[in-house]
Amino acid sequence: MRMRRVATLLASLAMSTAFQPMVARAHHSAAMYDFTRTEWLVGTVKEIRVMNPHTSLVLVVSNDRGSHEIRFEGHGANNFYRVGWRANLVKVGDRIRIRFNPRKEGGEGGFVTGFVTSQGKQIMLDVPSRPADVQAPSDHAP
Amino acid sequence: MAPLSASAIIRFWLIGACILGCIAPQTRAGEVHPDFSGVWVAYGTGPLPLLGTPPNDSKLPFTAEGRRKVQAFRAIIGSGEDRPGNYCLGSGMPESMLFSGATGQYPMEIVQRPDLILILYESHMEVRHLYLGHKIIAAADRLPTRNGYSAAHWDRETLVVETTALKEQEDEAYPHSEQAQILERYQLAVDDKGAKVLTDTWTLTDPVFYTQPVRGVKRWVLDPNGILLPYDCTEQFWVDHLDSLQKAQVEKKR
Repeated sequence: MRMRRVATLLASLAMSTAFQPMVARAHHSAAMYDFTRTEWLVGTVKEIRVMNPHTSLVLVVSNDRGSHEIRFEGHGANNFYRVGWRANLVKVGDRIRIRFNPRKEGGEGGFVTGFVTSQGKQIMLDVPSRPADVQAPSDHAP
Repeated sequence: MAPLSASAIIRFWLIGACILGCIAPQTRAGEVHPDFSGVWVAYGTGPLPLLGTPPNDSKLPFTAEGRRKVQAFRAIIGSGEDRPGNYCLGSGMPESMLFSGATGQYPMEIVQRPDLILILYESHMEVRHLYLGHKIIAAADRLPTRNGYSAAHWDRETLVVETTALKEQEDEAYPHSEQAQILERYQLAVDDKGAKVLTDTWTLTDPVFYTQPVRGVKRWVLDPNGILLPYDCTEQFWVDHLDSLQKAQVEKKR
């Protein structure tokens, strides 16, 4: 139950603060990600910045399109810190496995919710299911 | 034994006052109040905190004016997820308090002194100053802010906090006008597992937005080893700006 609550909260936070540089520089939103789906990918780190509100990551991956870069964003430094991430745990050149929510509109990239380092350490936030609904208040006086 | 000099007496007095202040920072007129210091995360498995503007069919007891203002605001943001946090702006009261520590993330820290209690919310690094006694300034001198001005006093072991000077906000879970007042009563208890539990029984009163007071209860549990982490929300903008400058320089050299 708690796992699901954390997942829902994190998804909600992601919705409120995800970074969307291509839309507006001063706007954070993760509305473009599908928090109901989870995917995994292996790649080599070209760039990683674990920061708030959201991490940015560029992976070099090889698939049917050949070797190319894919840009991701993900949960912020504070959330990853509390599940075990520490400075320099992932470095440029490391081969890592990431878990992410893909884009709603398709295409590559997504919102990173966890990763397995080249040494096998798992940094996993609970899988977000979907953003929290705006709830009817249950705690105000009738 | 030589008599103490005036400066030595003053030094002893200051040291004594400091020691008393450190050991029992809430001491006043012989009373020792609970120590709320520490890092707190949400307690139990209650409903997730609300975030952002309520829906148009919200069951909050809005006045006609309050509902009109909220609906007008929602018309601006549409069905999108626009919230202050999207723009690195903190929630403001009461959402900042209600959101803190939810499911173990984004805790709050309390730093307690006799005349000032600081509440630090990790998310967006929001800070509330709860002033006590002589630190409390006149209502006319309070600058309206999103977290308002909080004047506090002790009612035996309960910390009573009255927050006014709030900006009008339709962009949070409990919208309110600048006439809003939030009364909080903080009480410390120990649960059956021996954990310290802090309870905030809060009441939002706003004749412009609500036909009756809106009440709620928020609980936190002390995280003895917890720490607050920095939350520099705008770092990404700065890093992106530097990236763009660097790219421009590279292109210029070509």
